[in-house]
Amino acid sequence: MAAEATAPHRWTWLPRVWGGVAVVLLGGWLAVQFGLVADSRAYLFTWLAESWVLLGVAIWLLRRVRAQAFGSRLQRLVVAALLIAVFLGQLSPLRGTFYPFTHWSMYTSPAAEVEYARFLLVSDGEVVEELDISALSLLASNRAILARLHVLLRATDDGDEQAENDLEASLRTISRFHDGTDFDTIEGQRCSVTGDRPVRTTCRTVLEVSA
Amino acid sequence: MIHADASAERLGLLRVVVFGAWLVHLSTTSVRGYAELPPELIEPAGLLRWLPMERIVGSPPILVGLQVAGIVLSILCLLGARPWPPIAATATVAILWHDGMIKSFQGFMNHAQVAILVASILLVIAPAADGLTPWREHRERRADRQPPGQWTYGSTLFATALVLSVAYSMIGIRRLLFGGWATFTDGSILRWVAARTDEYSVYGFRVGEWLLDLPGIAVLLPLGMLVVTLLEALSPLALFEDRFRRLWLAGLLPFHVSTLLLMNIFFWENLLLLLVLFVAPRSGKSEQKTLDRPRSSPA
Repeated sequence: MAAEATAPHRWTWLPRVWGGVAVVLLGGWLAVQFGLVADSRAYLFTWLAESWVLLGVAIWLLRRVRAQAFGSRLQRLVVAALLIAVFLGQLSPLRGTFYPFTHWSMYTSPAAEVEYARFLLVSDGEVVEELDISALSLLASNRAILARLHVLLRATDDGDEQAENDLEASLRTISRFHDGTDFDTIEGQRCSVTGDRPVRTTCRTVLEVSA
Repeated sequence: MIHADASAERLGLLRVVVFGAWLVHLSTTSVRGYAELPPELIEPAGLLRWLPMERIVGSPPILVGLQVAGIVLSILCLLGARPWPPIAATATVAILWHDGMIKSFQGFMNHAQVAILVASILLVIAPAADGLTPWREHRERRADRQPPGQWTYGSTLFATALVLSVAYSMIGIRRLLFGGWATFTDGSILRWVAARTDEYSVYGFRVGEWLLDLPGIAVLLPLGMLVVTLLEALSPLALFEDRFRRLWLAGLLPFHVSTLLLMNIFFWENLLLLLVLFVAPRSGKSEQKTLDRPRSSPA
């Protein structure tokens, strides 16, 4: 009984080892921040640092979460599997491999220039309205569909014919579901935001699709 | 830890929110529209790679059938129909198909709707149909199911909160490590606000345009972003520390509203999950205090 009470916890060394490696990785991360390491090595360093920090979060959670919080063995297994999948989805360099467990990242890299696409409905040379992307899906992913159209528009601008065909077909389909004013052309524009005080936005037409 | 001694109603509320959100998504999507998009756009991911995606998506009757099945199953789940596990499991498969099909057209898999997807998976193996249900016999079952101090209903709420907090933490950690200081000091947030305000959005808020003209905004916005990023990175603490949880909510709830007003980005499902999972959860402390308090002896 007494031996049991005084026995050291089996995993007490873990935070110390984690902390030691974290200090080394912090040094590497600072080197990346000050531009001493660049390109693929900088990415590798940062990825290692992220993985290590997430491992630290996992260790901390393992120590804090009481096992009795999960009633059955099945529930423990499901929660553990989901958490592992969430971590793998975040750290995997192959996006989508672990779908539905994907990258959780939003606005995680600084951007000197922010680009977006605009699709305008034109009638008799006048812009009458913006193409309503939500015609496909009101709430889920219309921003993501817009991002896909933006990728196709950029490729079209670079001379990719397949991308241009796909973009034209997509825009015609979406416009058929568009419940608005009559138009004769869809104009695809690439817009760019630069500067900070003030920000400047410039747009140029890349593509015109007849209705 | 939050959600010790959680009630059947609280778990029922999570069920209603999760399957209600899916019902909204399923019923506001034009699957016929997706069927007419060029099949070259389809890039299935994960398990969906094993399915004949192009053949399924190219057949509107199948797509509509799957959508209707998803809607009916979501309604049954929302109401807490029994037998719960098979109904919830089938609904989750239908939901996974719907979400995966839409995301296959995006060319990349984003994390939107992932939190409610994980929540639906966790609800399948939970006694989630005991509370907030119109069937009286379901409500009566719970009386003998939860002995005091047990986690019968709380474990699913805690597990969902755990996954959600880890996901928030991942975003914060990634922004701090990959973005570094430059993300908060080079004016990127101002350009993001300008672009998201100007580009197409179903919401159409233009508050960002007005805000960018205010004096001091070049300092305030990055500072706010840094504070939110730090709160996000520390999210798992909200599972255990009440004071931090209140501070965290005070930062994250307005943050979700501000991304809607300034950038037309609205994770309404996550906002609902935050409200159900982190606002006033029963942590078992009050019950414990009552038990610990010495009983006053009768005079």
